[in-house]
Amino acid sequence: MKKIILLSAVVCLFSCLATSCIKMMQEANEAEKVHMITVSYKVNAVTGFVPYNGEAEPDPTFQTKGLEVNFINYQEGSSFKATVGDNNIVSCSLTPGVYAVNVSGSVTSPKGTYRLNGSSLNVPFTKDITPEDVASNPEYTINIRPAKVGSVLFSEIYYCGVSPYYFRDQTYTIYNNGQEVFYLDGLCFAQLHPNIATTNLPSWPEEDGRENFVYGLVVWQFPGSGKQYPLKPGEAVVVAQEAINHTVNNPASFNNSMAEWECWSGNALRGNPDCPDMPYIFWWSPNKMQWLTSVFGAAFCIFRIDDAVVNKSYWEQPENWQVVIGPSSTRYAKIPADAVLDGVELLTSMSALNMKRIPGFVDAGGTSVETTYIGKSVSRKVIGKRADGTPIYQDTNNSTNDFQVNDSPAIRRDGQKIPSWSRANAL
Amino acid sequence: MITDMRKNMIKRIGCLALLMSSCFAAMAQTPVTPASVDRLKMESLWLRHTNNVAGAILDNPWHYALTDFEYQIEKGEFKRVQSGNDNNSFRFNTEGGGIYEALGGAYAWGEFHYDRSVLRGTKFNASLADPLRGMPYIIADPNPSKWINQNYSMQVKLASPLIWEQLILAVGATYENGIAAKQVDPRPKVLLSELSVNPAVVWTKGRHAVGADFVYLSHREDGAATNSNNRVPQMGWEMLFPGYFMEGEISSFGSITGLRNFNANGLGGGLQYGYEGPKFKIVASGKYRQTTENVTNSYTTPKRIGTTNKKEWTATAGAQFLINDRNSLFADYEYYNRNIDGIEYIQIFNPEFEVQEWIVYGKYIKSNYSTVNHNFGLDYMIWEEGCSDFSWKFGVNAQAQKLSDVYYLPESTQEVNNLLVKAYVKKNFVFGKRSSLLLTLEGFMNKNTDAEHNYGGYYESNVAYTQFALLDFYYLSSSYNGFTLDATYTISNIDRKQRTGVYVGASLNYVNPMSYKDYFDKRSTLLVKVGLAF
Repeated sequence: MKKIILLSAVVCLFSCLATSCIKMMQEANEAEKVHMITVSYKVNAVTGFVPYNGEAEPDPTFQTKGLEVNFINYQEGSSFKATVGDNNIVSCSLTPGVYAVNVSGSVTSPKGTYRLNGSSLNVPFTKDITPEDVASNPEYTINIRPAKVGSVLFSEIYYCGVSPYYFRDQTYTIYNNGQEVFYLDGLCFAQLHPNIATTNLPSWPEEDGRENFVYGLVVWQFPGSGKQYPLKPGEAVVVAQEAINHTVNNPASFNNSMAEWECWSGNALRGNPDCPDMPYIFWWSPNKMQWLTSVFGAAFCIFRIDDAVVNKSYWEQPENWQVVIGPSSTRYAKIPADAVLDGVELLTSMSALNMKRIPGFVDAGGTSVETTYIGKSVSRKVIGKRADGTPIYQDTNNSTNDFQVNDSPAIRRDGQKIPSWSRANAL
Repeated sequence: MITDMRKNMIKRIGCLALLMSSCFAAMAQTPVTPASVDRLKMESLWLRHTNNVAGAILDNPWHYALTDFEYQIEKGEFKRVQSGNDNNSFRFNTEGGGIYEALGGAYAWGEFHYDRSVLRGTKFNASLADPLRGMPYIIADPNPSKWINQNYSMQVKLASPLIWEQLILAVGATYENGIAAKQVDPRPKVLLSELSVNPAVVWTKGRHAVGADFVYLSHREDGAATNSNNRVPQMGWEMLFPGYFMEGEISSFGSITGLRNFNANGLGGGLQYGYEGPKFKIVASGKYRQTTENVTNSYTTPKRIGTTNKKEWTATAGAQFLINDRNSLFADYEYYNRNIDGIEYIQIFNPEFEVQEWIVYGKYIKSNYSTVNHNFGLDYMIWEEGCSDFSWKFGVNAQAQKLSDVYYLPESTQEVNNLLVKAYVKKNFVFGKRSSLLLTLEGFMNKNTDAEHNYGGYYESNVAYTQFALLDFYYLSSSYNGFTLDATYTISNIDRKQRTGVYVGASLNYVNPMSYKDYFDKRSTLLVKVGLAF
């Protein structure tokens, strides 16, 4: 009897092994040989709310015909370019794979010049998609948001820290690249979620629609009553995590004590009492030690919501914050897409472009110093000079193209000027 | 905990294999020397040319057991890119078995091997204990690295005596367990295990026999490349095919996570035919095996990195012509066809809280690796009447090999045709009744008859192409020559029962490349061994 039970057990075990083995082999045998496919995609310019299913009415004042579309397969390192044709549809022949669909271009209208940049990330193309398929399925539509070419932008970010593990010198430079005076009063400066580039992107509730918002972890706000802090063309302000001469602590660091503002989070033992604090108006779970952004590279934007008084109480209203689907109760600031003036996506390395986390209308690309604690910064490429010698920076809303890596950070690089009201003039 | 259990299991199985070898040795009827075991294996056509263990009963092998320790030094630049250029190995081997009268004429055989190797100067491998086993989906890094590998393998073959004078049932099994540790960042500790079970049957009638066997194989291997110094970024490549990869930083925050989890299953079988006459015997067999191996990069949220689907066809025929009581001619031929499809997946991570997994949208055969071998050999053996060993042995062997690799889109192809010819002579000098010296001299020459490499990928200037894919092509398409010189001295009957012999041996292998001399230099291998035969 024992022998029969033992024999049966052996036969059952062997059957299970053979069954799972055969299933694995059948799955492999079902794979077909790869071949080129032709995919079509609709490119719409939208200015209103885009629902979760992506079905949004295009804004007829912005035509996308003629825009260049780049289908990038980061895993293979391949890219295929095509141009948007009639009915706002672009067709491209490519190899099956996971693609980022990037649209770039600009239009000039009586209202001004608008960037027509946008991207759809992680789009799986496995079969032919005809223009007819596109017409009937909003899944194959990319909605790009026209963004007025702004004057104020990030011109330099120093985020990676310096060896050994020194990170208190993180510094951000905001510059007026335009032709008119920009008033910093009330401008918001946000660190976006997620803090580190990842393929595991957060899921937001359907009520927020698709790419109508970016989500802030921390929002700082420039003080001022309205016209207190003018930033003339060619002038820059420096914002620091801690505005001190860091070479005292670490000879390999640098001196940013002349920064206009310090992002002080409440640590009485740190900070420069002579440097004004920039208040944070949103931070769900403040770190009272310091405001440390990822040395691997975070994502930032500057924004201004024109039709609202944005202050601490604004972010306490339920319609202005959101939580990620899941058990976490952490709140994130809902920043409307049309309020964003500039944004930069910083990556662990340029090979992590497939881990982009913020929408293409904020930054169609990404930039990186490639590793941590090496004392390097990223800054915009100069494409011209004004008569007064101040730089004109490249701003195509794609930091992959717009930024360069510097061996060391600098305060007001390339001949940027100090605002007349700045404390730096007295130092 | 798992490591302790594994060590205990290895010890138990190793002891069992040793015990089996010793038991069988006690039953040996004739003096055992390396030369006599060589002759025994040469004449065992079923065991040499088929996987059918039941055929051992038809080979009717006498008992033997060999146990030896080996130490090997290997140096030189004529190597695959992923191999070391300065290697040391220590090995312990034991094998033994034969027809076991206490079991009514059943056949039992076992072997156990332990190998500890130190490899230096390896490159472009941060995933596998053996990067040359036909698995392309690895993580590669450019750092010249030292690996310390330990491997335990064992095999058992059991066959029933003739049932009803015409049926033989048998089973074979192998188990392998290994650990391989890279000593330079990014450094994985790779654990592997492999199990195969091989039931078989032979039906014999008169001089004819037909057989069938079935094989199931399971291979598991995993390791995570991590950095001991996180301040130095380690760049690497997620390899898809030679010259096709994704470049990135290997770290938990980087674009390449260091873990690779390999899971393979294989099924196969074969059919055999044998004929044995008074002056002639032949065995012919055909076998097929399909092995599918999935590669993922996480235990909890696995992403399918790729799958290899390997199909192997083998046809073999081996014959022995007994010319007279002292001379035999052996002829054998083998056709081998290995075809590996490389399957890649199109998948997106679904981050929704309830899901959190990689969703597969499509899978495609993106690459193929083909190997076709024709191998023909002739051996002539002379022995003294009444002896179990041989006095002379000569042989020639020719192998035509065709390697064809393709990546379909964007297309890259590589084709290599080689003809390898070997000739050897073995002389077994017998001094008196107790000692003998076996000398072997083998010369070989590989002629590359055709080679073509067309790269259509995106990374023509990347070192993972120029220093890995291209250099490997140069190696595979190299012509070379060389020789092996081997000497083994045996003293038999050293114990009171006159059943045990001791042997010492040394072997030198020298390979000299005749092409791509700017890239390669000679390679030599020295092996010394000491062992017991009983």
